[in-house]
Amino acid sequence: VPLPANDITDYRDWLLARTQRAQRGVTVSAVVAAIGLSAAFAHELPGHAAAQKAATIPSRADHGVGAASPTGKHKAAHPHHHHHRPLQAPAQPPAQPATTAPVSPPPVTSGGS
Amino acid sequence: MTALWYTARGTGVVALLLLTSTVALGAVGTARAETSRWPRVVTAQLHRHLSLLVVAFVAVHVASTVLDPFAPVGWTAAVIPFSSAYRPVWLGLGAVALDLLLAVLVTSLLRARLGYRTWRAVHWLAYASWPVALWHGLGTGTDSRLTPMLGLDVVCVAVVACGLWLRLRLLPSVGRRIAVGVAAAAVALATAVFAAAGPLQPGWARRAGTPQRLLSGAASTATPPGSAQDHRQPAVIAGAGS
Repeated sequence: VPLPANDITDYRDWLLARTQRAQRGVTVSAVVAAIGLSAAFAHELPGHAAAQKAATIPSRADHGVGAASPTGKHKAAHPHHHHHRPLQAPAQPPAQPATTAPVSPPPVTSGGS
Repeated sequence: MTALWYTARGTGVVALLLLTSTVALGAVGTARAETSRWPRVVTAQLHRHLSLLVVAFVAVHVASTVLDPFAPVGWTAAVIPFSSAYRPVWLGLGAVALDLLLAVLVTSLLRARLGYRTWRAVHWLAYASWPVALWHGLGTGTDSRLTPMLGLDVVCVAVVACGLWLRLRLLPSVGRRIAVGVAAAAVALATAVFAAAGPLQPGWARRAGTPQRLLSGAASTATPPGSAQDHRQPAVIAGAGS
């Protein structure tokens, strides 16, 4: 926005508009920040998630099934507040133990103890 | 009621950021710093607008904290310092900060009746309310240990330090300048030491004065008390995040 000319009325209007724009920007930013932070807290920031995984059984903690969060009452009281994902089949079946190859004992080279 | 809890935490953090900006802008305005595109009148108006915004966010922060039913924080404890059963010292600091803010707000609204000297004397309380609010957030905040929150705290300290440095340049006496500078540095150092020895250490919830009922209730559903994680459990149920 270019600076107005010498007209004092224009200058006053320019200042007023600039102030109002700044105030509006600050207000909107603050409200958005508060909502965003609240949402971030609700979905857990990385630090909380890391602590939760470290303190609980990993396979259950991720879905909040039975494992209470170390972050407190709300997580413990409402363990299903997010991470609702349907169980899916694994991408690969678990590796099967080899049944055809015989397991040979380790060779003894020194004649025992 | 979970939404209330998240609201309390979010608005608490934003209120601290806004208070930081208000203090810094006040110092910048007093230092008569301006440019052709950012004249002092804009700074002054923004400072006033920010301070009202701080009050609004603190009101939401307090209301959501009190209405959240888990932690025993009442309306009285939100206003009268150190009267809470839950973390009395650290929640009490929040009440002190709130009272100081209210005093600054009321005297600013009545500035024409009170006179400039009285208003100015009370307005210095704004500088006191900022570190008190910061300590309140560190001491009873749920998320004090998180790296983003620690980063925000550091940014707040840096911003206020810059504003204070601008303000100190206006003091005519070199002795007063040094005294205020040393006091400010001592406050920053004390804050760092407190954070390192208190909220960042395990078991802070117990030492901070969380009622045993909440500690045992949280501990029975999670990790054992005294473990490396137990400081987090009651922190979430504090109802007075930063």
